[in-house]
Amino acid sequence: MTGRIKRWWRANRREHEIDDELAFHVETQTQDLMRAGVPPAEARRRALSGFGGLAPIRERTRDARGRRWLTDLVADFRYAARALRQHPGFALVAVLTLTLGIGANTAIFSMVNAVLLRPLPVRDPGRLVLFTGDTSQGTITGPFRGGTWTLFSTETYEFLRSTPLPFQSVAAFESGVYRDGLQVPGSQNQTDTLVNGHFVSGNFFGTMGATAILGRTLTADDDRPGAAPVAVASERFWRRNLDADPQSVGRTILIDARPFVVVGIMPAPFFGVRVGLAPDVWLPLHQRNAQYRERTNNYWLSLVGRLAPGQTMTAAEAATTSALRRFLASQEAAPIDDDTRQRIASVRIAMADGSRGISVTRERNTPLLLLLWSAVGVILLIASANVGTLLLARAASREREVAVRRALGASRSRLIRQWLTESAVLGALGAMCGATVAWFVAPRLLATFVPADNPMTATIDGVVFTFTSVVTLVACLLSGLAPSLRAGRVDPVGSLRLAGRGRPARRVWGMTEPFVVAQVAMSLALVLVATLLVRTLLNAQQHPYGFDQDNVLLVQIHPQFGGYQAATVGELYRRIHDRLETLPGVERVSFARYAPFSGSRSSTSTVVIEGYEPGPGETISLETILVGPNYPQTIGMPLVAGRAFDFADSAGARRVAMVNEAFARRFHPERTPIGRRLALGPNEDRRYEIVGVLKDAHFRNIREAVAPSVFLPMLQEPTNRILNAEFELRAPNAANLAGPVRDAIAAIDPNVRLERTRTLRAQVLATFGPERTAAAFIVTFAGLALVVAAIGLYGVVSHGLARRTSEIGVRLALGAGRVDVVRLVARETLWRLGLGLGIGLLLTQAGSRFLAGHLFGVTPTDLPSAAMAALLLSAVVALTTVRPLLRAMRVDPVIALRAE
Amino acid sequence: MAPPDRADVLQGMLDMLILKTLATAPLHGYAIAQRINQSSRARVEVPQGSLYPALHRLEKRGLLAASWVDTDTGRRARVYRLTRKGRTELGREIAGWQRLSQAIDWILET
Repeated sequence: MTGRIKRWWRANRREHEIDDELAFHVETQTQDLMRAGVPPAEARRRALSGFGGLAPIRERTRDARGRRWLTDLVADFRYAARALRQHPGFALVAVLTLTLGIGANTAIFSMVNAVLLRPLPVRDPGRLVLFTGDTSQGTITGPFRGGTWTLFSTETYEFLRSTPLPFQSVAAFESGVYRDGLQVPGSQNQTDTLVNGHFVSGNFFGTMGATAILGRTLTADDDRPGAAPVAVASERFWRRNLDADPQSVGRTILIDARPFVVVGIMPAPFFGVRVGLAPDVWLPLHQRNAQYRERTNNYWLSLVGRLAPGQTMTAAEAATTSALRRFLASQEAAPIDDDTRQRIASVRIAMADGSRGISVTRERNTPLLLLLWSAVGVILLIASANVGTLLLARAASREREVAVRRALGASRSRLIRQWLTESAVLGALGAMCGATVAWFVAPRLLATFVPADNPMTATIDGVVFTFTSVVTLVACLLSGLAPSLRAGRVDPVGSLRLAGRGRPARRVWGMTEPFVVAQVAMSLALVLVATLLVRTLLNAQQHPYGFDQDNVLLVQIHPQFGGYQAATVGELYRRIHDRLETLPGVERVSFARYAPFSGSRSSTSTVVIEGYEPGPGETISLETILVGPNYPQTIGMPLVAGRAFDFADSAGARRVAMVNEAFARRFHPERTPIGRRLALGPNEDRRYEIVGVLKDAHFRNIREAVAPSVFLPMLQEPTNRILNAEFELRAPNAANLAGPVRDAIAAIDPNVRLERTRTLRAQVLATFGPERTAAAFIVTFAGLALVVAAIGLYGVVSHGLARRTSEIGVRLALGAGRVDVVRLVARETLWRLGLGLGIGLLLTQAGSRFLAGHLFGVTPTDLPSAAMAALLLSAVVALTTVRPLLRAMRVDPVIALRAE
Repeated sequence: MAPPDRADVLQGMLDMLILKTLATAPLHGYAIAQRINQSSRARVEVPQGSLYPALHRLEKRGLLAASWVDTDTGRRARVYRLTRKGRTELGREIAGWQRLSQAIDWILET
């Protein structure tokens, strides 16, 4: 290392030595000539002229020595830094522009990486296959259906696991979430907490390819009937609840008061197979409630398999599908009727790549993320174009300097290298600032796309950094290339003579035109997309939901932690209801299994409706919602006919139900459904009489049509499902009542656990999280693009006019009016604007495929939005021409002509 | 690009001429140019523009060694001398040149 420094130091000194050497030569020759009688001045001149120019010789001599690239690079760097310091305005604008482009790209790509691309942190994730492409989680109860299977029952899973298939192993995991009470004896952290558990088969960890950091993972032995209850915990759970005790293996924890022995701890990056639903503990399938597990027609499992070496997914899909069909056929009593035979033949399993796990976020948001990514790509292009334009503008004004340097012997490649160094310095600065910005922005950005307790992180990891560097490089090259090429082609003599006259400038100017048009086009595209998204949000918020979002407060309540059972909880609800009604300002109180837009859903297909005969092969699927007394009035759902529930409709009383209009339209189109009965349950053992009809309301997604729904009284429901409820209360000051409500419930029974207190409006808005974020970002991007494009345009117009001062002076002197000057500028501007708008509109159309799924109430070809965007852009473009135009009009012909 | 100097054409031969000139005694750049001019009876004039690049190139190749010498004028001169490697190279170049010129003679005689 020191050797290299020494050599570099010596090389530096050598520069001066060469000067000395040449100077000596000149001196000696001068002396000789003087001795021969030549006068001193003449002698010196002759000696010097013999060299033909010291500088090129110095350069060539230096080149001959080689090893110049380092000194050249340093010199280039210093020159670039000085040039930038001399033009701080330009440097600032350029660096900011690049920061924007690169920072936005890095942030978005970090998120794209986290959500879309990142594979599961397991061994060889490429061999994992999911037995479904559907990401929704939940269970289905009922006779097996035809069509594509996404869920499996315990016995179908057992069969598939033990059949020879092209898989090394097939594992199962519960489809759905499980939360229950947790106690950890002997822990510092003794507050009762809830634990997220995931029931998985014994071979789950082996199939996934993950190993524990402490202890062991589950095995097939743990997943047998009668096996001892064991659990595998996550590292987060280990740190939080087990105090990171290295002796944790063997400890007992209580889940729902049942003892489980911890046998292993999984490392932090591992979260199972479902992205965004990282459990605290993994439990064997057989520990699930037996009723839940062993019912033949309870389809509650999702499957994942690891392909055997050399096997393909398509082959596996075919083999598994036919195996399943054989199994189903074998379960039916012979002879099989045609209906069943058709159903079996229609059964298929659609396999999907499992290397990235199941991610609802990914499925929901892929088009949106791609849209964001395209938007930032566009921003980067605009930014590069802008910097390129700026550099070109500078190139045009530095033509004299370039000419002089060329005359002094600088080679073309040297000049190009100089320019590229300058844009590289800009790019490096931009990249550093951009990466810093992205560092702060990316996690916040991700937080709006995924729920808060999600361990997904958008770190700036190696992939992202490489991406940034590549992007930077491309941006640099794009920006630096145009001026470099331009610089190379400058004719030294020509430009020295004509510099300032404006003629060569036109050639340089020609290069800026496409940039400018491109910027206008891309800005338009962004503004238009932003407009469409904003209108979507406005439409979504104003869309009639069917209930009154305002003034309703929601509180989730978990009475099972207070030791309540289905039989005893009804009274608790009554007490809470009465108590909450007394709070100041409260108009109505009710409760339900879940509130609208809470993400939950419950449906059943074992239903018989009086007066309606299902057609052949038709399955009736009803959404069932358990609600309490006065529900519609509390939520603000209008009652169209009949009555709502009251406290008389409780256990033991006659079973009643309410339905919605969609139900009435579908099943009782001619007459009112009131008075009709319907029977639910596999044995049709629960019969209800319809007493009320409610107006249609959206409970999940406003894009879906409202499904036929039946509302059942929670107090008449015998199962444990009523042990999770959500209280709703209507009051003008609903948002401020959160505290008093919690206090009131705690006063009644402090053991009842409360969660998620929020207003109904907040709940609804939360479901639009990704769209709102995307809209916010794209609006910001569009704004930035406009600013950047405006700056670029302003620079181009003002520079262009400045260079043509003499031309304008001539025109004015020759009798042209000021108006003609305006017309001149206007014509050019209109040309740029028109072309830009046209291209921009085309771009948006091309991207409309990504857009369509996320729009609501507008189409990508929406005319008013396009008109608004075009108008905005035209206004901005017009604004940028105002000041240069005013300056041009004030040109004094005499001064302009003299300024050559 | 500027039109090539005549020295570019003679570059290979220039190296040989420099080496030969320094075979007898070490000299500085100006003296080398003078000596070549004299020895060729004023037929060959080495442009300074090619002399110094050639000298530095040869030095880099290790065929010449250079050092600074103070002269009586007060300035210092860079004096070049032939290294052993340079001497070997000189012999090789001369042999090559003689073979070439012999071949050209044969062609011209036919």
